[in-house]
Amino acid sequence: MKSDKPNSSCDEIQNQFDLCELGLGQFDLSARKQMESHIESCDQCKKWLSDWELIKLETQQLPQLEAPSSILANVMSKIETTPKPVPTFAVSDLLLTVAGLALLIFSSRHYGADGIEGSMAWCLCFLILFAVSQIFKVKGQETDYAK
Amino acid sequence: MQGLLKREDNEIIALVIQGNHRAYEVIVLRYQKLVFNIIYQIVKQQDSAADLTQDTFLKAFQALNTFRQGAALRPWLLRIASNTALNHVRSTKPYQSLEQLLEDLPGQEPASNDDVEKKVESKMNEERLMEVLETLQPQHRHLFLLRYQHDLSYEDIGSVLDLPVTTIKSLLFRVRSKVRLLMAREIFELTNQ
Repeated sequence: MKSDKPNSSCDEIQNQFDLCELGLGQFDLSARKQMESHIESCDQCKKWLSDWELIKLETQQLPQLEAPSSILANVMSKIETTPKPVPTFAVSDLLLTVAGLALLIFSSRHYGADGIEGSMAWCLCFLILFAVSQIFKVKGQETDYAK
Repeated sequence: MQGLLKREDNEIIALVIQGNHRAYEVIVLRYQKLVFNIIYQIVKQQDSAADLTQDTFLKAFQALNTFRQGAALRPWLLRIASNTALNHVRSTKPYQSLEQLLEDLPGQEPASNDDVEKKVESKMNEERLMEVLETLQPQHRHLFLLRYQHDLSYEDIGSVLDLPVTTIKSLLFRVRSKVRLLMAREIFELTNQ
């Protein structure tokens, strides 16, 4: 195939190449060979591929800025002056433990430890504790990343 | 300090968690250029990028307790950097999510001829590429550069952006099409001037 004009087959091949390079879709060996031989013999696709390779190469070689020297000094001075925060989970775990124990004592006194009501009370306690711990976890993450 | 420089990230982090805060200097030295560039590529202002880089390292320091031992530090740090920079951009500009790009299918590139080909080659330089990248939305530019400039794996990009690998690949499929389309448009405009 020799052509300088784009056609649906070229579009399809270029599309397949992209999918293949990104590991999207499934292409068997014969499909890959067909794609490679098309690109090899088609001027337009060859050009398309070399342009893409050039874009990738130039992207890789884009100049990078030097980080301002003040960053290190500023970060280290703030770290030295700011005491490391007490992990939020330690406080929340303590609160959860106290709340859990209170709930367990209340439910066992109220319903008794045996029977279906007792089991349901234990399950309820567990569910409440689980929900509260999840809320604490989410809140902790929000404060970590939303500052 | 010299001895610390040779240590692995995880060893340094263990020392910082044990209370050796000076060891954190190694982490900052090791990653400040990368973090600064990643942030700069999103916000496009050096002063803001410097401030946000500092914020990133401070947030990372405060969150070191939550860092999973044995995990790779780079994607974790870049995730904090990305969130910090994107939050900054969101607060100053209208925001479009990365997923919205999935619905934004680019059209086909215009055809080229021999004359155009020569101009394409001369145009495909660093300056033109930077112009094209700057026309992309910050999130899309960020994704493209994480992969093709900083050479992060799809898995690492997934960790940084908190998206599944298949979504990353689908997004990249569209972003690279968009980059090609924008490059072709630039060339088309150049040849019609």
